[in-house]
Amino acid sequence: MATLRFPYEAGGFMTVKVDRVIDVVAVSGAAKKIDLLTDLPMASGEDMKITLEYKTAEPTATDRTLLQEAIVEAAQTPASSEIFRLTEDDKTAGYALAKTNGITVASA
Amino acid sequence: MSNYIQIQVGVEDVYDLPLKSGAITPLNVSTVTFVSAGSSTDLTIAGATQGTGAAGTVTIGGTDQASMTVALSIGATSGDGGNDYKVGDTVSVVSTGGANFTGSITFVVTEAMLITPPADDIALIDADQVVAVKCPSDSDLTVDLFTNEYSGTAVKKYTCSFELDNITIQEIAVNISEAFRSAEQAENSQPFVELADAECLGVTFA
Repeated sequence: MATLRFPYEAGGFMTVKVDRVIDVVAVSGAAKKIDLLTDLPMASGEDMKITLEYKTAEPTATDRTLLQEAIVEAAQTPASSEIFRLTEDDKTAGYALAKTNGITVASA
Repeated sequence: MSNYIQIQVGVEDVYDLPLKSGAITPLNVSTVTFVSAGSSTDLTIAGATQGTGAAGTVTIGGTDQASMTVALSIGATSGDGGNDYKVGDTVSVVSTGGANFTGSITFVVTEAMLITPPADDIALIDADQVVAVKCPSDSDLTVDLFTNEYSGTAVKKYTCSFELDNITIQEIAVNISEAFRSAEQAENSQPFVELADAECLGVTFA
């Protein structure tokens, strides 16, 4: 199983399983969010989507590319659980997942 | 070959729990002033020494101070019982808007007003099903673990309920996430969630 860890506003890290993630995309109208699209079937015609929301940081296209690369690397390294940080992350809370609803999972 | 997260369920102190859903009696309404008949849900329900976060409804009846009747009911929605109310403590109920009453309704907590404590047990969560731990809000007393299953209407999740003491719900969420990571990193591992002073009241899957 491949997982990645993300800094969490409240302290520590939150773990996300990324085995079935097939794409990392921006969220229209929500610059602080990234969607991790999976191939896990949910409702009819829909798949699971994991949404990450940062406290104040706005992930860039480069961040999304790097995250996708980190996911591919994690998938090839069973039992790994690397920490993923945004490129501009200065280890302040703004670059961490939001305390409330930093991670949501839905069918989409 | 499976990985499980283990959570110790049970409480050490059966006199230190959330309030039970339903009517609370008896009430002391000697400092309550009638404003109008009706129901108020904008309540702050706080113990003198401990206990916060309960939610419910105060129903004011009558037409004036002399004919006023007062009833308090704790809600049935998850989390309405609040956290950490203690037998013997005096709890005050205040309406922030004061539309129906002003002043403070009080009651002394009895064992019958608290939820039935859960039996000691160890709950197992199949870590291989888990995708991520939901980030809870400050008012939450539960932590959800999203799974890779779909119920037909929503993503299925494990929901763990807690009585918090000297620890935040976010710290519990991080500890659960760490147990999840640990379970996933070692085949056949079954790590326990570090609860510190918190107590797990139960785990459900739906």
